[in-house]
Amino acid sequence: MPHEFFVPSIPHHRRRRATSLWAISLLLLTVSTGCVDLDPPHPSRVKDTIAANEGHAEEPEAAHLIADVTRVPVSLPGSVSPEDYFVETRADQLMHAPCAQCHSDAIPLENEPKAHWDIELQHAGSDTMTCTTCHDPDKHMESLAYLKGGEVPFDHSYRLCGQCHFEQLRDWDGGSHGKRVAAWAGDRIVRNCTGCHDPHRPAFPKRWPVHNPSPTETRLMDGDGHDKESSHE
Amino acid sequence: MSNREKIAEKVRQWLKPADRRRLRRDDGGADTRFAEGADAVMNKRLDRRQALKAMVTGAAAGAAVVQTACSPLGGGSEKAQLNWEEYFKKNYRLMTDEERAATVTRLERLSKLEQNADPHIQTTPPQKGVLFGYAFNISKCQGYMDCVKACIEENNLDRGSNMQYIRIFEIENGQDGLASANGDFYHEVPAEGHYYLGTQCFHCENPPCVKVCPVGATWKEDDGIVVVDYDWCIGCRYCEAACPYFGRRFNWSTPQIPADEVNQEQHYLGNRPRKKGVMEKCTFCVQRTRKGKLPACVEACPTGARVFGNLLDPDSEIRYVLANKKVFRLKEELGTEPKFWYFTD
Repeated sequence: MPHEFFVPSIPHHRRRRATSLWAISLLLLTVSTGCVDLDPPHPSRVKDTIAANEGHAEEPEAAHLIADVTRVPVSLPGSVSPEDYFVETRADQLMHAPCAQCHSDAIPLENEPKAHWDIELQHAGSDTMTCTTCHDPDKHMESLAYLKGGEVPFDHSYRLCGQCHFEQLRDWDGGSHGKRVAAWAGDRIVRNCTGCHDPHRPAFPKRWPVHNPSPTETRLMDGDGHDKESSHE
Repeated sequence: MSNREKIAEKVRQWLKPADRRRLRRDDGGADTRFAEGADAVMNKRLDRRQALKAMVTGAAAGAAVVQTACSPLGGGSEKAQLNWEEYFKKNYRLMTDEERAATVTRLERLSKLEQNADPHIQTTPPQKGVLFGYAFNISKCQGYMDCVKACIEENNLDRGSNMQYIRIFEIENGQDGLASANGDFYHEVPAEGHYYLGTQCFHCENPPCVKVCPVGATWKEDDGIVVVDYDWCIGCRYCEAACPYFGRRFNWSTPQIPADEVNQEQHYLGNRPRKKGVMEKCTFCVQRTRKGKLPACVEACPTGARVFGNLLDPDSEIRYVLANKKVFRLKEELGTEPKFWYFTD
């Protein structure tokens, strides 16, 4: 069949019209091939989208992403944590704990330390905290100590910090403070307080940024006289 | 109704009644060779791209000969052929799974031939029941820029022009913050009396950038990520102008990335290397997040200022932030509905 590819075989008197129709269609197609939804999208609010689609999650398989993370289930006093909620371990990362690595006997409490000179405590004021606020080498050589004397395992140091920083503990538990590890899907594993903060000097240090800024657009708001140039007038 | 059928239906609506009747008559027949109008164009056998391809096969062969003759490394004809086929592929959204697989195979092979690289280019689709959301804690950010560095490395950003998706602004406490925000600081941070606020693509629920694209090269996926088909973009920069947040970037020159620093784990709609003259932007690290990982910026942040997760999961961290913290979004009055919130401790 001749012209099989291009010109449809149609009665002669209709061919001219068909050709122009074909051209128009081609033109339309050129404009629209990229658009799958040709209708303008309907504006919607995120909260409506959430309300309409909530709770049918098919989350990606994330087990392999977190397989290597050593963790223990979170256990907060007075609440039942979900089964898939973990915290990174701490005890296995400590060089000087447990104390029994060096000290064979219990160490009597003293406020002037005779060892561990390298540790400079910059946590609250010195009238608020000393070594013994968190450590009790007399009674607990393998763990931390609550203010009232009870024992706290290193892996669960968030409980100790939460004695004072109860707001941070609440937000850490909820998810707005702290840092999730590796995956947003699957088991929730979060860093311990000590995963980000040095407990002896918990404030983040001043340092140089690791990267320089981009030269492209260094204003946040433009127009309306809010830009940098016009505010200098 | 498939996308293809939707388009055909739309074209049909634009036609005169007489033409429409004729088309309808043709629909019934099994032999579509004689279809006209929309059907003729949308029909596979008379597909515009295929027709063009057929017309220029001879030219391709000619180009291949030239390529072979010019290329000092050899293998030029395969490269020319692949490039030629790439030139006639469809918009990613209109591709079938087979066509997506074919273009990925071509792109991977081309990387091998051109850069001796072995990228893995995914086409991982959005997951059902997942809508990504992001929150940024302005009480926590210290301006360290670890996120910026991680983003550049993860997403194969152009080192030549120092392209960055993330901008971190230094803002004086107690001032009309946003107007005095300085995105050009480089000194020890945090500076006394200042706070820091980062921006990137906000993956708006009603993205103005998508609306203005004249060729449909950018769109919002079902998981809320706004993506760009780099091979469909014509570089008109309308989207850059439409974005109220300066979330988009243009490649004024061919992106430069040291060969040993290229991230080979890529996504077609994500961090695969771009060309000169196309738009790009943050994709919430689509190549990572669709597999369950956190975006590179979230993972790199040393202060925990960045929270990311599934908005459709009521137990997610992002939902905790939205429910329990004082949150705001930028230029909320525009109705763009960003899925990127700021919050304070």
